Amino acid sequence: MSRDVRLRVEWAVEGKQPGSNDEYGLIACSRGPLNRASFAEVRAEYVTGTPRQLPQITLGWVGAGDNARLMLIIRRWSDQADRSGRGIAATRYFSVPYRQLAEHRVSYEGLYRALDQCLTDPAYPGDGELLDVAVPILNPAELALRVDRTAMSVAALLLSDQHVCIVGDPLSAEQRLRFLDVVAALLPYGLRVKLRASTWTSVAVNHTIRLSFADAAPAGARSVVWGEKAAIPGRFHAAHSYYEHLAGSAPHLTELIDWLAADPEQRAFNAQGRDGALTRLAEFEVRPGTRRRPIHRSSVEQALRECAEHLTGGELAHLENPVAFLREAADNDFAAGERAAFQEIVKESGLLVQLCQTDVRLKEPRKVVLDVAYGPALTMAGLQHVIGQIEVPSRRLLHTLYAMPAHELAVSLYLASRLGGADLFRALDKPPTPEVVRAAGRQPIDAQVVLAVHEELVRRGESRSDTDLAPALRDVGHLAAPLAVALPHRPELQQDKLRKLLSAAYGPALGVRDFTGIVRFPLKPGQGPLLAAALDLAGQDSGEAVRAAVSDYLRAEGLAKAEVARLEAAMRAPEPVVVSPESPPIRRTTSPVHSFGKTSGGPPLNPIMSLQEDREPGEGRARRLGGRLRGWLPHTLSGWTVFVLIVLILFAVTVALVILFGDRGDPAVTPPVETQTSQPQYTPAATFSAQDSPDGVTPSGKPSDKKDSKKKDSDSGDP
Amino acid sequence: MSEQEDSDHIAMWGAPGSGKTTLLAALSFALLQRRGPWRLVGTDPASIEILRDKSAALARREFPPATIDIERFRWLLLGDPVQLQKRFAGRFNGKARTMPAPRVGLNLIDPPGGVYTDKERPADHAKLLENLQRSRGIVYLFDPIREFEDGNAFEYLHGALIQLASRMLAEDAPSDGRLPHYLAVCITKFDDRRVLETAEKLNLVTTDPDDPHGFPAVDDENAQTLFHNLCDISASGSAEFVMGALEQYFRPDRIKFFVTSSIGFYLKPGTRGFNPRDYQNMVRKPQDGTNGREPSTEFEIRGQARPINVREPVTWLAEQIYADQLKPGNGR
Ligand SMILES: Nc1nc2c(ncn2[C@@H]2O[C@H](COP(=O)(O)OP(=O)(O)OP(=O)(O)O)[C@@H](O)[C@H]2O)c(=O)[nH]1
Ligand SMILES: [Mg+2]
Repeated sequence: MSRDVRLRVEWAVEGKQPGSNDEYGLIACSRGPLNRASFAEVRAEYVTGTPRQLPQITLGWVGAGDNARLMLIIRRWSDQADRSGRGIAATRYFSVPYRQLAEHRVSYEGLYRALDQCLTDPAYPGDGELLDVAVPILNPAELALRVDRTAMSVAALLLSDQHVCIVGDPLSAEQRLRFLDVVAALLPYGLRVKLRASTWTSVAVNHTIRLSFADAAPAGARSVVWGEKAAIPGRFHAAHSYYEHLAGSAPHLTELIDWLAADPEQRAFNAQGRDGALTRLAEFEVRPGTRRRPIHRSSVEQALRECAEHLTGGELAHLENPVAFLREAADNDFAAGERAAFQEIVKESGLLVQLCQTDVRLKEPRKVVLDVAYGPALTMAGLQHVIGQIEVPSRRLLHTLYAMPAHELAVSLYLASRLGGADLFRALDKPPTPEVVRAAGRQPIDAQVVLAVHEELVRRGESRSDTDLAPALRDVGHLAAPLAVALPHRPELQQDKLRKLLSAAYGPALGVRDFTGIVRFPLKPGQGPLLAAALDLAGQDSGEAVRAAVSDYLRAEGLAKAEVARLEAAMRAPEPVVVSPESPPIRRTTSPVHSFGKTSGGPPLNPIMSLQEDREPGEGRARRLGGRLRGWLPHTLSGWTVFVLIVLILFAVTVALVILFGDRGDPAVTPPVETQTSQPQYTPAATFSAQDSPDGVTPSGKPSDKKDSKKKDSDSGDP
Repeated sequence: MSEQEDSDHIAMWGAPGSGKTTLLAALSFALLQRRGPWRLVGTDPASIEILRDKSAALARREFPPATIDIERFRWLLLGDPVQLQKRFAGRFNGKARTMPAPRVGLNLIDPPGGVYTDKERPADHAKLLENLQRSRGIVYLFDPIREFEDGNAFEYLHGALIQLASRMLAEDAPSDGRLPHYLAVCITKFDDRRVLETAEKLNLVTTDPDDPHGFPAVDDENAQTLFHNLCDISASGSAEFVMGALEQYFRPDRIKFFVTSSIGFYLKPGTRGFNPRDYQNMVRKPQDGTNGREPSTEFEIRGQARPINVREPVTWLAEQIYADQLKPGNGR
């Protein structure tokens, strides 16, 4: 993905004759337009002091206009010493004509990496040949990843006339360079022809380096403590506005850096240059709908690792950058393979485990990391991956996962069944029955989901006479297998649950046709509880039902119809009559499936619907109400009656609440306006609170009413 | 403040490797550690940091790296009025206890020795001359070892001296045609065997009866004699011109000689006194990876640094400058 720019680079090397007592001086230089004298001038300009630690990397410029060049100065210890046994520092100067960057911009770090290996051998290119190097094009996404408020505020502060020293950092020279790179990336690229920056400056020299790391800030320079936001004095208006703009663009840093880098116009750190920079920044806008530059997988991986490192190091404050980057990256179109790679990093690095610690500051990072690695919608595989890392997921984690879009219902049910309460209610409330049923049968079977779904299905069947329920259940073997997993070694419990489920789906009495739809011979191991539940519900008809089921089976196995009919008749011979005084026999005279099937003339046959068709005309319904009150009433009660009751109770509670809180004169609690407008029957409450309303305006907009009533009140109160 | 900065410069002058930076480190070390009439303090966070850093490095028994750029340190010498009363008798009018502590800005300049010639870095050379022009005192370091081996002290003195004189004397020529600076001439590296032996041969070595360790010393009165003799054994023979040049350009009453060592003599831990058979305090560092057996090309300080005569040249200069400030009609 990253392309290179080829650059022709002029160079010079400064050092000492090993073993001598000579002074530092230019040892060699290229034979380009910059000659010895020019490099000597550069050297005098870039005074940074005697370093205690090397390497030291200094960025700068030389020349102007067509001759403008970017300078990179790398100082490292050579392995030689002078006469006094003092190590000799070798300083390499590299100069890149600015016009070579007209097409493509490069980062300082890119330059450094390309050039740091050059000229390390004292056998310098003999005839002073220029260097020819390939430098990768500046990558805005990678730079954006490292932006933090220190970088933003320092970039802005550079638009004052102050020199800036970063103090108190624990960074290596290369890390410092990366920071300088980020700061520079937050300024229009063209300012680099006047920017001097260094990974270290001595407090003991008078230098002209605008931005550097230092042990302390010399008098007159601004010191910025590493990791903190630089204070920008009020008088630096440009710097202030620049910071505001930068901070405002924080969600689009990649595009922003891209935008600033695309501006090669040479600028200076003077009033005009500052205005120009501000204008350039202000012109940046992310147009909605513009396709964002795809974020490279490696930067995401790097950001994830960075998060893990910071967490391991306990540096919560440093999460800010990578998390900001990941937030941006989250809605990128990553391939499944890429997401899988992210997930592996999350797992390997222990990132998720760390993110699940109790600390509110982790809430956002947790969400962002999950979005990136497991988004855009959480799949079952993703969920399993998460669960595989954390044995007992905390509610925090469950909530974060639940807040993500779920790829399928089974995922949200998994989470909701563990969260319980309102979350579970919400998760189960909307989805259509077939989907809910499928979710419970989804492999791998999850006991909690199965039980929650079971409860919901029973509720639906009872309260809404859900016509989708029976066919949906038939598709998944009436959840017998999932229930067996959920309630292992508890056949009687399974039977009980299945009986409730069948009753919800087919009604309290199972007809022969329904029975044969449920019980299909040959039975598989584990289907005992289902058979028992069906037999239980078929009650008196169970013998008939089993015979029908057996006949179905025999026919399906290819036995002749006549033979099957003969066997069936034989099975029927001694008809047992069981009449229990406790529960009156439930008999079904008609086969609803048949009658309905005849009228509609084709499948699918819906036993529940047909049953209702059967009931609605009145005759059947009345008969059942009278004859089988005991079996019927509870069913009805939990249906229409319960609904009506709930409505009544709700009504009563609302009225009570309105009166209660209205009495306390707390209009914030009673919603008089809504109550009145939406439900005219609540008028008493509305009026009541209107009288209490302190501003004298009734919700109905009749201030006079109120005044009047108030008057009456006070009148009556006065003796 | 800036006026003081301009006026109180003390510049270090000496060839590359003559020991300027080490002397500064030893100075901060000595002035921070020992009690005396003058105390050294930093004036801002930056200079405090340097002060701490320099003395810490010496305490770690490290020599400083070769200086790359002209460095300056803004320190302040705080005098103890009571102790200084004797020295400035009459000028305090007997009110020493109520006097504010005398303070002398010590803006020291430590250039890379090479900049004293204009060969390699003309721009820095010019900057240095400007600084010298503004300074009031000069610590001139004469390194007998280097002179014995290379004999080029003159090279790093003469050219710059002529240029300085031509700048300053053209501007407002003092009556006697000499530079106005005070000059502390320091013979460095007295701890080195060759220097000590030369002094011994000349019978210049004494011991301070108050010195618990009985370290050899050369009295200030004899320092000049030692200097003359060391010049004689210079490799190039040009050292005698050094003496001549100094006498030609500086007023004799403003020159003082000191025999110094920034690191002093080695004292074996647990022993009390100077051991004439084992006193070398500068040794080669063992080479990395040789288990301490092979010496490397680098040097380190063998035991604790015990600076000899490093405070004296600087406080002498400070006192001269301070005395000038106290003179009536000097605006203070
Ligand atoms: N024996 C001895 N050697 C010393 C002493 N002071 C310095 N040296 C040696 O002299 C070397 C150079 O000392 P520096 O202080 O760096 O010299 P400099 O004058 O600052 O040199 P430049 O910075 O190159 O101009 C040191 O590395 C030591 O090897 C001393 O007191 N005694
Ligand atoms: Mg030095």
